[in-house]
Amino acid sequence: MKINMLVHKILNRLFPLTKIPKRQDVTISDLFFWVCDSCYSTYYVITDLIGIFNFECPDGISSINLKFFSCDGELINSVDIDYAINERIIINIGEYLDSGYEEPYGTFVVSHRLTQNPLAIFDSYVSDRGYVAYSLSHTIFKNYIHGNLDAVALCKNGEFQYLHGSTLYKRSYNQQYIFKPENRYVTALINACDKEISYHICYVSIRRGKCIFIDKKKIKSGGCLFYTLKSFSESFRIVIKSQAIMPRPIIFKFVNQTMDVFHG
Amino acid sequence: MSYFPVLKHAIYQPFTTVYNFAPNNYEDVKASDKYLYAIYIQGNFWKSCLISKLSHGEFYEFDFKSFPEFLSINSIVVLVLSRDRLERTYTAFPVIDSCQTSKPAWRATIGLKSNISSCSYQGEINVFPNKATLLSMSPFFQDDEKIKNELILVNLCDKPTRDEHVIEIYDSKTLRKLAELKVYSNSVNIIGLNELDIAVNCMPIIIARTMSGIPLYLSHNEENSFMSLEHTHPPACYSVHGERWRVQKLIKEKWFAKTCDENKYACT
Repeated sequence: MKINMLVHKILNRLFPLTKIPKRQDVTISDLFFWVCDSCYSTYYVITDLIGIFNFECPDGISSINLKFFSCDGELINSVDIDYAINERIIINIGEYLDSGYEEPYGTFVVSHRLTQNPLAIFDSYVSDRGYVAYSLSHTIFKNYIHGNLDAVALCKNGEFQYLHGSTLYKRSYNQQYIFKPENRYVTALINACDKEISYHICYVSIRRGKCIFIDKKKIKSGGCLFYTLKSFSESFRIVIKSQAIMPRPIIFKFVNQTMDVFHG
Repeated sequence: MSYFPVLKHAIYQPFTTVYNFAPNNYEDVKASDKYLYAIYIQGNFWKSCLISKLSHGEFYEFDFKSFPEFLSINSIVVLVLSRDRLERTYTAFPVIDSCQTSKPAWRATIGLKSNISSCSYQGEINVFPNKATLLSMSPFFQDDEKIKNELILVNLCDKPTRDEHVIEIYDSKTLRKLAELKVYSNSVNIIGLNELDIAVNCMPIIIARTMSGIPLYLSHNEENSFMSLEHTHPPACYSVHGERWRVQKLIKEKWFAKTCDENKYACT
């Protein structure tokens, strides 16, 4: 066991959670999850990095670029949005997706207009790990969730680099959450690694203390999966085994007709 | 070290679910049975109360219905997992290192529930320095008249006292001060935001110059059927790699200077 932990320690240094970008002139974004169909709407809160950092902006207007990807990580649309700084601006993602795109969910990234990396003196990078909200279509109420990871490095020229670290072997991510039989759960799993990742989703019975079901999924780089968790007559927890470091999913919990959203 | 606060609320029932298993299998955390304690302030001391003993793999959902004696406690109630039995009384918050992971941190499910709904987030709290500051930019305000919005500011610090501090709330664009309110250390402070005349596009900035905390934002509708609970990022989260805490200091200094009331506070 001690040798095992020593090996883990060494590997932790070799395979960090977030890689350092290859280029300096980038901004970082989470790989946000969107779902827009007859049931769900997705909103993004514009992270006003210009305002937060008090960067120069004489006319009070800045801009962001949103790139939308399919569930397989393929680019489907790119949109520039101007916004007034130091304001709370929330956009409906569904209004910016390509109207010809029919799949109900995917991912998106946000790059911010900065002429160069203003945090280079700190060996740091500006990051948008902001906030997204999801709502059920029959209500105006929004469930907010903060971003998950510093996932993607974005250049002004449109190039991007996935930064989520991965290892050579599968690790276990034990969700610290108990799934109860009286509720329904839907989960979004996002792959911000630079390669396709296989996930073994193990359902562990609380009562029996052992794995009762394994779901095997593959997600392409930049892509995601949105699916309903299997239900059982007993409580369970989930262990995700994959080469992705910390593959933390988003959980949508349904109780009666209401929804709660949180990180798993 | 991860500790787990229990929220408070006038309408909803708080709950905190603590897990005796690590969030991953690759950090050096020994699997073992642990004692679950509730720690709170009584008579200028930290007091511990044994709640349960958890085998490895077990969890415990704590709420005030099961422990009504905690309802009269004014201070924050914090749950901790410890390999060893704790003393009954401490003059400073006890240091317990049995839940230390980083990818991710060891977390509990912290939430509020009504008869028909619930909301939660995965979180933990660490002991804040006695001298600290807070800057929170909150986009979570939902403008509909049927939705109530609240700030829940949770603080935990070493000294077993509830000291009075002040938070200021500003419109980030106009820098108009929307409110100046008392909050307390080692407490779960609840501040109603609907009464603050927050305009539709206003990004409220919450500042505390002498105390830090976890700023949670709760929104709920009149029927208590929809609830949303989330915390804002600390300013360090707007950067990655390098000297993030210097970046955080830079952001705070700029906003504290912009909102400084020279008649009342020293800004440096």
